[in-house]
Amino acid sequence: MPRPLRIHTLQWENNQMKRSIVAAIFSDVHLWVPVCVLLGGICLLVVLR
Amino acid sequence: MSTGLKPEVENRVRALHIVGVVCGLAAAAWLGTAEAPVKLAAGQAPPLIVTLGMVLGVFMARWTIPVLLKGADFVVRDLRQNVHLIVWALLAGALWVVANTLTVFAIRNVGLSIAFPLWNSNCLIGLFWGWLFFNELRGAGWKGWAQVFGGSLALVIGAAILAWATAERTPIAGAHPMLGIAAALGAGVLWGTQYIPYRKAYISGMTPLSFVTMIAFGELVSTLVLSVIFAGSFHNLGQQIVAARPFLFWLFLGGICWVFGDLFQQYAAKYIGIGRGIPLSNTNQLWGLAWGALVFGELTTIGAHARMLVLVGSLIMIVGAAFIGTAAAPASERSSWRSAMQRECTRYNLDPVRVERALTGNDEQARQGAKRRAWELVFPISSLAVMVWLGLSLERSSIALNLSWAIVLLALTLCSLFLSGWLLWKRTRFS
Repeated sequence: MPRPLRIHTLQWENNQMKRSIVAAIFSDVHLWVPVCVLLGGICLLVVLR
Repeated sequence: MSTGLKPEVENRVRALHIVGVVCGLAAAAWLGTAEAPVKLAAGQAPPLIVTLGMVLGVFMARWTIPVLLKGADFVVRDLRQNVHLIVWALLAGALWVVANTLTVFAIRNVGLSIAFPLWNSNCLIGLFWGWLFFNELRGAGWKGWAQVFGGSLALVIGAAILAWATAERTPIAGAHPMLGIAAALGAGVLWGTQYIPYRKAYISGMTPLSFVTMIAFGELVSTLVLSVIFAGSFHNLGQQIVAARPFLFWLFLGGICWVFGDLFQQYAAKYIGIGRGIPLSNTNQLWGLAWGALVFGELTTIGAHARMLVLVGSLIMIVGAAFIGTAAAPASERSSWRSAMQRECTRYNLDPVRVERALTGNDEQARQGAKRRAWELVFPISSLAVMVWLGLSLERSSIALNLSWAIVLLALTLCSLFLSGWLLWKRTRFS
């Protein structure tokens, strides 16, 4: 008997969907702006230390 | 003036704006109050140990409060629905910690009176990101812009005047002013950028109660890494923590108060956006000032000119907050918010109907509630046990305080908690 489908994990049980969401995360400018700012802050800390 | 919307929709929009504004002001009260216990421990330990002690309290509270309010099932279900946002939560935690550490260097090199206004510009940075990435203030018209941008500017100027009037300005030996200014500006940019993950989470329909549980990991890991680096080794860090143990209770308590403030800030960011919510919560400086002046007697040595500046700075901040508080987003701006939400739904395959409901405080899961389990009591019991354990080794602080004023301010802060909590429950069920 097939396992009952759980709506809330649907997208993560589907590998293709999982890959497309990971790709969406890494191509999202909303990710890279904070990452760059964080790296800048860490560099500043290194200089200050 | 009619907006062409159905009366019930107009009422709902107005109610959510009020919820957001009240949450922003409650955030200010709790973030300001968090400074009081930390003050009792500051100076007794290196700055990063103070941060680490607070972050440990923050970590416990970030799990205990959501589980107490909505249950672990609800939190886990919301996280599973928005797995892609965990990376942003971790990022937000790391940004906060690095910004916080930069402030230590800023104060060391240029003093608080110069550093504070520079990093307090974070609300303008947040406003810029809100406009650029999340369509905030688009369609708001010149009146909306004048109210929000003018109000934010007034808050920054008022905060600068307060910092200038109250901070000591003794020459700092061996200081590097340019590095101090860079550190303060850097902290402002990092804190302002931290609001990108906040808004990102909420226009995707996430609830603040689950988002903050993941931020806690980002904060804890980043603080531990930086603390070890600055202490030189795990052994040195352990020794510093043991040495600070008599004061850790105050840092934990400060961390817990801070989490209440941050949670309200998150709800403000969700319901009125970061452009409006963050400047309102930045009025925490007024609460910090009230605690400092009334409870710790910090302004007794300043002159009449400085007192006048304190009054002027406080009034400017209050006017700025009033400007923002009355700047409800018009239908045209809310339509821009909706298009940003649609973009997230398309990108991450989210259900737009569910997200829309969550953004208007009508999240079905939040209204249905979730199953509670007995093991969830582990969270409040362990938090309480840690507090009692730290309290047993607490040493009496040498700092004198005015107990009557402390009770008055505490009562006001608790009133803000109950009012905001009740409004959030009534209108959104903490969604």
